[in-house]
Amino acid sequence: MRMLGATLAAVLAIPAGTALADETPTIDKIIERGEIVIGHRPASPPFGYIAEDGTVTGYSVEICKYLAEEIKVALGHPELKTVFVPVDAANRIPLVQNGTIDLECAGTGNTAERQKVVSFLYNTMYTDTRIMVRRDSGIKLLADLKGKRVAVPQGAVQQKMIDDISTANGLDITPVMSKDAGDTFRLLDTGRADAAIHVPMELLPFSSKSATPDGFAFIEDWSAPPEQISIMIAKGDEKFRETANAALKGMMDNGKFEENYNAWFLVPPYNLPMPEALRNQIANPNDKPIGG
Amino acid sequence: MLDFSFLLEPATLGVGQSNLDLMLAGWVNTLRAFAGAMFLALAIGVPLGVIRSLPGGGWASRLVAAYVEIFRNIPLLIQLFLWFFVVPELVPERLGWWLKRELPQPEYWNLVFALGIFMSARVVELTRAGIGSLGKGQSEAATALGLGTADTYRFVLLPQALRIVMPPLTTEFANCLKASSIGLTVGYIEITQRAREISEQTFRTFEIFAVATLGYFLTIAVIVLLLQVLEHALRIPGTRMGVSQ
Repeated sequence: MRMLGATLAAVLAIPAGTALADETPTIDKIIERGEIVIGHRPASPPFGYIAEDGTVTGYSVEICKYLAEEIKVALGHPELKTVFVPVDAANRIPLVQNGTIDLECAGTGNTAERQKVVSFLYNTMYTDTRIMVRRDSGIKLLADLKGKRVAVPQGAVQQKMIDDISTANGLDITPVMSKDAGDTFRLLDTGRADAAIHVPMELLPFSSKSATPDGFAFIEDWSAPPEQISIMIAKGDEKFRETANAALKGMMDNGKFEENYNAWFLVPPYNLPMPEALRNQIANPNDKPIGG
Repeated sequence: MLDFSFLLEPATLGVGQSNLDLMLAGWVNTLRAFAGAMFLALAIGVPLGVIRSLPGGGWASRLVAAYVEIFRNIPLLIQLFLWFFVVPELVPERLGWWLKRELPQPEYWNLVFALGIFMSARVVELTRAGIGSLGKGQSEAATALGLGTADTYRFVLLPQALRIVMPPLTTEFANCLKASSIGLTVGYIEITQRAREISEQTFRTFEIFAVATLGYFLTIAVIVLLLQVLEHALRIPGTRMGVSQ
């Protein structure tokens, strides 16, 4: 017991507040370390993933690769290296906050809540949320979901959406928790759930590679309004934000941004023309959060 | 700066619950998974450990050895994934449907089953080691007293062996509690998953994982303490670790 007490005391004595404060502006750190660090998702197509040949790619990652090159030029240090660090939903914000990564390039929603602790560049994409079902299930409309089981990414905004849908329409839906988009689709694919609620762009890469690529459809009479996603950077470093935003604006102006969009989304399984909201964004770039 | 006040604030995804309430619910789920899995591990592991130690070996002993190798050598995460996503597709369709849709709390029972089987392989080896450590004299003396194999195990070998393995078994109890966190990969919402969820909602990552860490630490400390008390209470007078010197 004495050992236990000593260990407990040692654990509790770890000084509070050592980890978070990082006063060095991002640019100083980039030059000092000689590298720009891009945080990416290892397996979240189409926004960020590791391709079969081992290269890191994805819609958001490709934007960031372009930005990194432009930032190097803007800083007058073309010799800087670009380094990739995998992140996940749980650690992305702390890693941005403590300066481990300089640009977080994924499908991260630009929310007012998050803007309290990090900053975002100009919005780079709009994603809606829909409910996927198996075609042979006979489920077509929201009302058909009565008493059904719906796969939900645990802890994500969709969890609240499905609660609200169920309550508002008296559907008595049982949520089945999953940990990411691939898992959400797998629950639907294996029959553990009758439907899956998620961002369609993140479900389609999985359904299109499943055993029955044409066996899935979205519920026709429901979708959540498109919400903006963006590239996350540390809060309070205005110079870095301006430099990166200038590079992003340049990309939007010279057509490279739309080129990148077309390369990722004008192809199967998405075939998604650029949303009006994103077109407006290119004309008038801003970093307004969802609902703002 | 670390700030724990968010714990008492209403949770974004909870209905009238605070973040601390969600953590406590996760902690209860961790304990439920631990209790179920450890019960299964002991219920399967001790009898199989006895079979493994039977004199002369034989096919039953070799079968148990294979069981131990299979469940000890495959990573727990992969075992859980196989039980949850693969096995229901391999068994007859009706049974697969039952596993996926009709079994209540499928995440819980899948986790208990996978974790219990994994831990049972370790309990088999502990039991065998405990019996093996007793020395030939014990079973020879039992035979000389006219005890058959079953009675030798029941009255002589097991009572001593199980006392001997109490300390390493305590470690396995702690391992089991910690390993229950893999339940989050099949949607079982235990304390680690709750911490991830709250971290996503509040961005208080360091604080919430400090709470989760402390939760694990204190829970295991209490379990270890209880087992030490039990070990002490069961000690045979005049012996050390339950064995006559």
